[in-house]
Amino acid sequence: MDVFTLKKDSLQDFLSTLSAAYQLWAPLQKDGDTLFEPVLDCRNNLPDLDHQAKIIKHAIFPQTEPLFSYDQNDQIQAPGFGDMKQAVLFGVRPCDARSLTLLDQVFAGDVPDPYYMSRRDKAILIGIACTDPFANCFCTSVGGTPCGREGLDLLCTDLGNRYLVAVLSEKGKEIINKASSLFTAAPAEDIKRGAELAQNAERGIRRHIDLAGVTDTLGKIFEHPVWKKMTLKCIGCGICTYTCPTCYCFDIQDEPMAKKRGRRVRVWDSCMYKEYTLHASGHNPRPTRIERLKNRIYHKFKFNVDTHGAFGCVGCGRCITLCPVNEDIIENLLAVKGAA
Amino acid sequence: MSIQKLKDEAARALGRKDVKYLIGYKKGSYGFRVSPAFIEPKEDVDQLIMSPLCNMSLVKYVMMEEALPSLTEQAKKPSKIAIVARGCDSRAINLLLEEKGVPREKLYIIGVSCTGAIDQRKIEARFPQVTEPAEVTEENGNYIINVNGQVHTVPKEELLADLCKLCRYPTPVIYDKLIGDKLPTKPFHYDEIKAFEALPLEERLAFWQQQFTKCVRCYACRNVCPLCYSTICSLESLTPQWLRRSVDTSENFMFQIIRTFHLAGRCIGCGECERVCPMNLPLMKLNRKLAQDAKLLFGYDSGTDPKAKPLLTTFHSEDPQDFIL
Amino acid sequence: MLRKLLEFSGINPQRLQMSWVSASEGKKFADVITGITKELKEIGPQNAYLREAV
Repeated sequence: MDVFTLKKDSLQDFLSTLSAAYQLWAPLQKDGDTLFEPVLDCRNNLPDLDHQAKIIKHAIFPQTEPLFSYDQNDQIQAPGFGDMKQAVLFGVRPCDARSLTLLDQVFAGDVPDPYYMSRRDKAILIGIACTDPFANCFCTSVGGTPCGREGLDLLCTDLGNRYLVAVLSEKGKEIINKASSLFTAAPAEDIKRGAELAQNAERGIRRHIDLAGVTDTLGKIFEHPVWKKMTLKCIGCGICTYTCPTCYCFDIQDEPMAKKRGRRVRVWDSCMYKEYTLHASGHNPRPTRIERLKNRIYHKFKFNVDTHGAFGCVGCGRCITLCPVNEDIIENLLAVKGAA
Repeated sequence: MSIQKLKDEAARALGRKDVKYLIGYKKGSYGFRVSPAFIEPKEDVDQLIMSPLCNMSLVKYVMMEEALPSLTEQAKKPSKIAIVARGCDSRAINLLLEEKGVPREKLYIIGVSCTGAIDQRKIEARFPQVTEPAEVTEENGNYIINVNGQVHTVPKEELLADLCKLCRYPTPVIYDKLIGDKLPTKPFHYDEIKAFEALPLEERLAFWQQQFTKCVRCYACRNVCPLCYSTICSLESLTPQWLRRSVDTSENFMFQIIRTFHLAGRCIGCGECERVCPMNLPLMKLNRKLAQDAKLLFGYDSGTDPKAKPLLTTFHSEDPQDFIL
Repeated sequence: MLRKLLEFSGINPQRLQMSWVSASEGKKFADVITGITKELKEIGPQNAYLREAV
């Protein structure tokens, strides 16, 4: 595996080169927040690698995706996937890269979703290792690691005034070749330092939970009163599902437009909303927040394990940080374990 | 404000035969967070806290559509819920009473005089990535912050929420029992709204277009608002469908303007909408604009009198009519 | 209040007008419509917060 050095001073040049050939996405500072967005102006917009970007799945799975448009003459026009530019996603955290491999289990399974696949196939992921994990990170408890490589094409580790850049795939190699003058082979001490930082990073994770047996426990406690107590403060706002990198529920709607045209769109939906499971008959199998919160935990820690063999959670901690009423999934899982 | 007095009063409230449970604040699960606490009779009131970190409103839980289930089997007899309410919270309660959303007998209000709460974003920017639970107290215009084993003193105005700086009713205007001193009400001023109004139309448009593009329509602002308690929200309704589900500047604009207008003459300025927004939208700017107009055009201050009639349900012949052709 | 809110958001307040006209006030109705149409023609097309074209 090839490992290179990229000086931090050369980062802007590297990104400029990329943005000329690809559609470049990066975590950018906007109004005091860090949002993962297309980079329109490399010169004035250096990525923010110090904060956790709010949401990143929209780069592959947009919030509003037109599926096709139609007109009065029954002409249907699907989007032209061939025209889509290849995308480079820069500054992706290992947990977010892992989350894409989990989304692949849903969208790239037996019946691949062409909308998702077209973006996924065209995306090249450049990761940034988390040498200093955030307050609520718990990736190590769900099978991840802060300097992990799963799902990435390149992994950059911050070594002070330079990045260690590990090539993890052919796509990654292609990226290095595009800007080969900016990269030099990494010296052995740098590689060693990178490995040290990765080990320290695991120790730097501050929140842990032992999830051994939790899937089995969930299988037994569906009617347990622990769910009521857990849900008391939830207000059903949906922030957890929108910012969660592995949540993928969606709704499909038809929208008539002007001039006798219309379109069908796919939009994000949330299992935390009451009408998510509202039947046309009026019956709702998840009528209260209790059933909905319970479902969320079941989906991520039991149903996903049963169906796909892995927790549907990468431990990024966004649901904990951004929940307005301090619903804490780690606390909730502790309560689940306590109910065994 | 003595925390012991609050705990004593909470214990007294829970000792009443007619109180089902009490809603207050307790320590959060990490860092500078606080969490709502739902305390049943016979449970420990010692978990209650009241500190500058208590920056969320509990009034939302009064109207949550699923009646909070009782963990013990006392549902039949007791019929009140006790709630810890700060100044803004008490005005929200008044408005619920005005609109007959909840009967007065349903609530036992423990009012707490409030000297302002800390802005979560400001304190997390100042002390980033804190996982260990931290504590904050207020002393002589400073916040004493105990975090990760160290004590820091920070001037209050550096961390105080901007909205709290504009608070006019620090002491609850309605309560069954008041903890803390009665603090004077503060004058009405909306300078930041006037400054924004003075900007040219195109600048205002550009500002809001940028903001509404960021909105992800998570509906958190609506969900957290204590005054939003419709069983079916018109902004989410499918039959009839007023708003598309597509998330773009145009639909978001409609969502936010309609939501703001549903609060016209109602919003009491608790700022929960802005606090919870994951994309940091300046939602209170819109709400405060309407609050200013309610005051200037109609002399109306929402939530100060539980017997008042809601603003948009009344008409007086002196109401301004110059906008009518 | 709605007019003021729209103006605050960057929409020309002249675009929202209100008038009481009864069914029997034919001339007033015609005058109101003519007046508003003239005003709007002077302001020009609305281009704030438009929906995407398909």
